[in-house]
Amino acid sequence: MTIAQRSWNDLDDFQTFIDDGGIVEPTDDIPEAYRDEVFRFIEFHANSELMGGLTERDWIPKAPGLRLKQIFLAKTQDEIGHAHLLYMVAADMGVKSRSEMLEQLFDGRSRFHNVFHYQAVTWADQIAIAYLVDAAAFASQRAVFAECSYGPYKRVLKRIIAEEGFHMRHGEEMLLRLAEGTPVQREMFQAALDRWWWPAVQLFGPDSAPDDPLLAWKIKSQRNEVLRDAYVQKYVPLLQGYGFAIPDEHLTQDPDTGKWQTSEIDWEPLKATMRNGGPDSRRRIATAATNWSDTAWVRDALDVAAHARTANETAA
Amino acid sequence: MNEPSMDPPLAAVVLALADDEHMVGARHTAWIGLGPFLEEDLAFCSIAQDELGHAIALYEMLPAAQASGIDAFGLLREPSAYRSSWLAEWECTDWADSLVRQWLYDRAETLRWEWLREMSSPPLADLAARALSEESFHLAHAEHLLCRVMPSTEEAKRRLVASTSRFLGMSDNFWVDLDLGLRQQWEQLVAGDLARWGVEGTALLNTPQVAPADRSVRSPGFDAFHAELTEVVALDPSAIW
Repeated sequence: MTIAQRSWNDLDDFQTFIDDGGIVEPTDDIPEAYRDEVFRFIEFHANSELMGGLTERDWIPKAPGLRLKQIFLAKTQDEIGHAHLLYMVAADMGVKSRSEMLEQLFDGRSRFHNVFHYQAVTWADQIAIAYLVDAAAFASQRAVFAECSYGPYKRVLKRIIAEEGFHMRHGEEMLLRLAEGTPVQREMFQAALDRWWWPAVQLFGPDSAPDDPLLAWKIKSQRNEVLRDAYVQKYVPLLQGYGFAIPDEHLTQDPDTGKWQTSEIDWEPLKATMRNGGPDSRRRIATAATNWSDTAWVRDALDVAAHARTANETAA
Repeated sequence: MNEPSMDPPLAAVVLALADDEHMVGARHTAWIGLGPFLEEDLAFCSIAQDELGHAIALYEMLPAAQASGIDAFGLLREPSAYRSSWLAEWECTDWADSLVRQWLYDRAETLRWEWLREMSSPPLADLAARALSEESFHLAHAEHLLCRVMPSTEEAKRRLVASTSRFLGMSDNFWVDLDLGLRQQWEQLVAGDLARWGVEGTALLNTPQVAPADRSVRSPGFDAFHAELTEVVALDPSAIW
């Protein structure tokens, strides 16, 4: 079957197609600017899913129960599965292969979400990731899914969002256990909240640029500041309701509107993570890079086996 | 879920199998996110979840675990009370070790589940039937990977044969008191696998034994592993996590 390749006269023509709700497919003659921008966005998402799995894996052996261990394993498996799907979508765009993306990630030449440049230092951090970070990621991904103009990404996001919804509800259940638990558990979670609140808020990024092409091309459906504000309005009262303190001395609530206003956000920690200079960036990347190198013999052996099989089939 | 007809010898088999499943499942988790490629990460993660699920189901059938709760029983016993094997407990810092352990262990585990399916009554026999349906995937995973990797390059063969030798040196420890007439069958299956992958198995199967033929003796590294497994639960024994 031959698939007709759609093309556009220029970027204005392409923009009209997007504005009319058009969905771009890999078989299209995709404008280079759109391809590069969307590829970078999906590669960043894929890297973040993989590095997020590595952030959570540290505490899986220490899970305080066998069923909990199964649950956190399944959750981490979901994250790596998302990375797997996203790398395939990104690779199909023809900019880099999956191996190139992974090798650049492990060389420290790629980026991933700020929150995965931090280390989970207690079990409560694992819960803070499940409660705060997964909720932020869920909100962000749902906003991308809403109007996403790139077909393969939208289809994969449908599955990712369904699974992230489970993760978020699991995070809520785990948080409730700590909130209703012993003083040791509550102190642990407050300390974790002190570490993870600002990175979670910063995950949405600084205010979107007025001419952000990802908004114009309907990869993003909401501006960063809109998503960030909705997150603050939801999670400040929830966390306070559970008896925890938001680590923001200047947090205020408008008496008329009831809206919460955080203190001015210091974006320097986020910028540092984008340079792979976050608190745990070096260890996180080095662990993955060392392991990638140590297991190269398996990939080499499979490549040799595949070439031998192809040669045999050709000879036959 | 008590097993009404579980006599002491059968309970000993169930405890050893449960502890093996627990330890091997917990050890497999060390590779999450660090496999040689993403598909392998996902496969190993599924196997680890299956093994932990088998451990939970088996613990639930043991009266001692029912009395204390499966998490307390699974995590907080004295090291000498565990009946897991060195093969299951071993820390695999090399992917070759981890893959070979998965193959050898699942070859043996399948035989044990088949024995339990035939020799016990419900609900243990039912659990065995369910577990066997999962084990077929575990064995397929090992077979499909090893049949391509083992004969492919000299380095792969050297690494995988060294790992095989290392773990076959723990066979006496694995089968002690739990042979059930299965060890010979296991060795034949292992030799058959190796032959298909281009490796002569006779010498490997006669590897000198390095582990004691006593499942009450823990492997080197167990204490550190046990401390890791119980780090959180020991923080506050009164807490519900």
